[in-house]
Amino acid sequence: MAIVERPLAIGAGDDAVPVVDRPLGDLTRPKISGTWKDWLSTVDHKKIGIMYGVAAMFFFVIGGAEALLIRIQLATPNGTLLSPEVYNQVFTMHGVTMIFLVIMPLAAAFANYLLPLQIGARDVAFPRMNALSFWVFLFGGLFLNSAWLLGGGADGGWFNYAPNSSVTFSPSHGIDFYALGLQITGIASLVSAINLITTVLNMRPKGMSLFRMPVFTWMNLVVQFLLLFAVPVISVALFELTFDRLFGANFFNTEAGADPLLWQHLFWIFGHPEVYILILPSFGIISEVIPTFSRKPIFGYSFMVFSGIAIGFMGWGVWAHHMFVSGIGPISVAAFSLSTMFIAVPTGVKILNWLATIWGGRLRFTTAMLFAVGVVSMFTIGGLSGVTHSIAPADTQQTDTYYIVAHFHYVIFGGALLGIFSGFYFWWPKMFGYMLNERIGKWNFWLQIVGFNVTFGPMHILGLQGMSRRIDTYDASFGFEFWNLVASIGSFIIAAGIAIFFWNISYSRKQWKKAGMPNPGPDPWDARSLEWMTASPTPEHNFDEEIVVESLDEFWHRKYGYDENNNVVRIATAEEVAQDGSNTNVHLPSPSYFPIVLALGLPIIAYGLIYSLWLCIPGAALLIYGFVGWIFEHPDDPNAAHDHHDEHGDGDEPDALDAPADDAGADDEAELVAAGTETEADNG
Amino acid sequence: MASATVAVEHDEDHGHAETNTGISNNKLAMWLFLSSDCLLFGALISSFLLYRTNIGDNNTGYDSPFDVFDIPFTSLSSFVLLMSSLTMVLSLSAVNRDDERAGRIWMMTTAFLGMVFIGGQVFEFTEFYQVYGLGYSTNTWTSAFYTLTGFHGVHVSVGILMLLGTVFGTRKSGLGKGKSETVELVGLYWHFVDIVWVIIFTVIYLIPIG
Amino acid sequence: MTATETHVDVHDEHDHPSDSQYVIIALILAALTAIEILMFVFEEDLPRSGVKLGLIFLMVVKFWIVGAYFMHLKFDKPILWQLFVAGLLLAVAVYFIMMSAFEFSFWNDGFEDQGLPGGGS
Repeated sequence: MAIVERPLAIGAGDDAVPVVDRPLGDLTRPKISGTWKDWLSTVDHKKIGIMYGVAAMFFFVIGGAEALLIRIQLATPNGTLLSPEVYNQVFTMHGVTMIFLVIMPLAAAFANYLLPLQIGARDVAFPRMNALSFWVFLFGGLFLNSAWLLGGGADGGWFNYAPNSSVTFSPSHGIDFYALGLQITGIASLVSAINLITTVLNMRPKGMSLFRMPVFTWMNLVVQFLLLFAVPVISVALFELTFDRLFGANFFNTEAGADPLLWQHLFWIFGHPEVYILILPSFGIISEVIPTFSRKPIFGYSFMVFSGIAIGFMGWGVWAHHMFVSGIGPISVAAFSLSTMFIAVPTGVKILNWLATIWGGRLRFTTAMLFAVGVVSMFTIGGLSGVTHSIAPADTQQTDTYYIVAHFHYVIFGGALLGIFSGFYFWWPKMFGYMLNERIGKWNFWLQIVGFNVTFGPMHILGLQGMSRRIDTYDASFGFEFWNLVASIGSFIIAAGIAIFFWNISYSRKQWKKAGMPNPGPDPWDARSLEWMTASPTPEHNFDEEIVVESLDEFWHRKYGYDENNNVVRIATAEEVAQDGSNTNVHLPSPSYFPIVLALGLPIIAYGLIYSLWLCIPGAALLIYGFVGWIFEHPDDPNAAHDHHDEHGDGDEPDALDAPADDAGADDEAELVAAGTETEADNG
Repeated sequence: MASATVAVEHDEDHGHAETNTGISNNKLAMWLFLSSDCLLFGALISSFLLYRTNIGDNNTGYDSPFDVFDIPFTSLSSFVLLMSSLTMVLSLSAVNRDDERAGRIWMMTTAFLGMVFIGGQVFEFTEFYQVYGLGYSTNTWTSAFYTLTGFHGVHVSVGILMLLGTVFGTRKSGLGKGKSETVELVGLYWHFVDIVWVIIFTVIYLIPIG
Repeated sequence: MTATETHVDVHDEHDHPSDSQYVIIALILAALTAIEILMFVFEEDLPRSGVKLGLIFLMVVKFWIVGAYFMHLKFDKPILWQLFVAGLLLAVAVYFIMMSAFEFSFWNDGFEDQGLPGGGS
């Protein structure tokens, strides 16, 4: 049973004495005010998800601008727009931004918004920690990008190999910002991973067994496990780099006899699971989109789930294929070649299952579906060029050429990002209560997919011709100029596609307002999973009543049944099945300022480590203040229309370890049981 | 990462009985954090092992780390930390049978033993630096050694803060049976820090080189 | 259901060891530690590989005892030790492979090899 569900006993709160909940004096419990301030203190997983999305799109614009700078520089031979030093910073920050500040948080946006909804829960397991994850991520990202204003960004490439990352070769503070910034966003990922795994494992409603969870939820569960185990590895690598650069440690100092391969191993032990962290959420998204628009259940649900788990598992055994030219020895090369070939198998299973889902379906090519089909086709190309890298001799030829650049853009842009756009079009009405315009959406899709192929397709050729990645320019005599020009033109087509997406958001919103706000209804796409079983946009409390789940694709099975000839027939409309979100008697976790306060301490400490250790003192003070305040603040506001003040009403200081569950849990339970019975009765 | 740890300890969920796994959210989250921490210490230990024999680099005058290790002293502090696990588990046992006084005493004992361990570490570091001239940036061995044992020391210190916070934070509300989960979570963290030291003690201090 | 009845007792009442059993477990741990130290002291008189293997074995045993009894993994829900062992085994596996790639082992770390640590090849 979803344990956050705490409906109120009506009329019970009358005799309660309001208490002043002042956790640490000045920061009083925030009240819902309906203004922007709500967003600073919210612990609602849906608002946090939306904030993740907005922040990630902001960084997407920055990273995209960096990409365009690269393409302008390379459009013609001997480009002079960027100096070699600045070029190094631009491509490094482009990669770091797109991976850590765009794709990962966009996936986190969907995971935050949808996981609790898809399993039918009220919120995540730890709402305040969820807010903490977001703020830590945001401040980490801003910290990382603040390097541009403070002497230039990191310039060692996104994987930042030692010893090139040492102070000797990169004397500016860029790489310090890289190390500390990624450390901070790593904390965000770790906290969020613990939170979401706990949510999925612990907070499913009655009947929602693990194998009734939608594939999207499954893929995100795998991703959170990958984060849980991969983040500490990069944390150690980044700590070691930070200590080397700031405190004179010798982990990567070759002069002192250090082995620079240590960085490569640690980075790629993290880095290869990271690749699956980027792609699996999109696999999850299109596994929701394709069945909906094929009007068929997903083909081979358990194969989809187990291949996702297999990818997550095998992703740990292939990291050294990034290091074939590092001199890791023939045995390692042979072993990692083999494991890399094997990991193509579960990915292939997924692609076949999507095709089998589409096969024979009654297809509707909405924009979301187009993007999903785009993922299947583009990711296949990227996956195939990826398998070519498992052949070590071929990889030796291709390493550090544009062939690699082409490959990973086909998987990350063609796979992850297109999947996320599919998710935007699919879940937009659920999140915001209006549909994105389909006609503009199709322009968006076609510009993006054409631009994408025009940009990155030629890079395969350039790579095989021998153009190395990360060079800031090339000479006209090399024969690279034609395809580079084509790629640069393509990049502007992509930019146009993205611009149309932003325009679509505002245009659709205006149209929707002009037309007197017709609500798209709970289920505009005739979809299958639980998040469509509540009103659009999702009410703050998610579900009026707990849903008792009886099958995979529960919502679809409530809408459709079988007639005597075993044909599928509609037995109910979505409006009849879905909840209307009218229940106002639901107690929700109370907002809190402490997550943002705590998070703010981290970048200040990081600036302190770089510039002056004195600055660490206020940073640490803020951190401790946020922390202590967090502990002393009740997760639940005793004043928020709530019927158990008796324990707290005597003016006692709130107690640090007085977990609300101890006393508050009790009568809730009784109510919960009552509500549960009610739900069953309704459904029966 | 400490932030995650202690945040986990103070729960935000609203009841324990009704989770799917039968384990409270807090406890599950703590175990997830601990299993993630395995990868953290694994990387630190591996980094140390890579540079295990490099203490002679930069002409420090030592051939082997065993020239500087004071094994009897370290054995004693390892023993102290090991026994702090016993006092921790006795504290939980006392809290479980609602014996608040014994619970507090054992918990304070645990914190005290932890402080003795940290004191020993401070002494060891000081001696390495002042007597043997091994600074943080002397060579790859010192960097790896101080980082690994330092990270462990930070974990122990966080544990001490958690213990003291539990003892003093419950002065008003009491430390009875209702708090047994809080004590249990602190205990889990504490035991984990202890078993990490079990590995560090063997791998760094005991296994001979060559 | 009244409030007192639903007052949640977080502990599944498994048969946790008693206090005296905890003390016995701690004594066993202390004894194992003593054996470790004795092995270290008399390492010159013992076969080198035997000392190394013995120390690693004792380390694993101590780890297991603390995990199983003090952390209650033996008495708790299986999912907890499954989760923990997942992280632990993953860590052992990836770092073992990594150290193998560095050609590190406790058995070839002698001083005759003064090149890069583990050779790096």
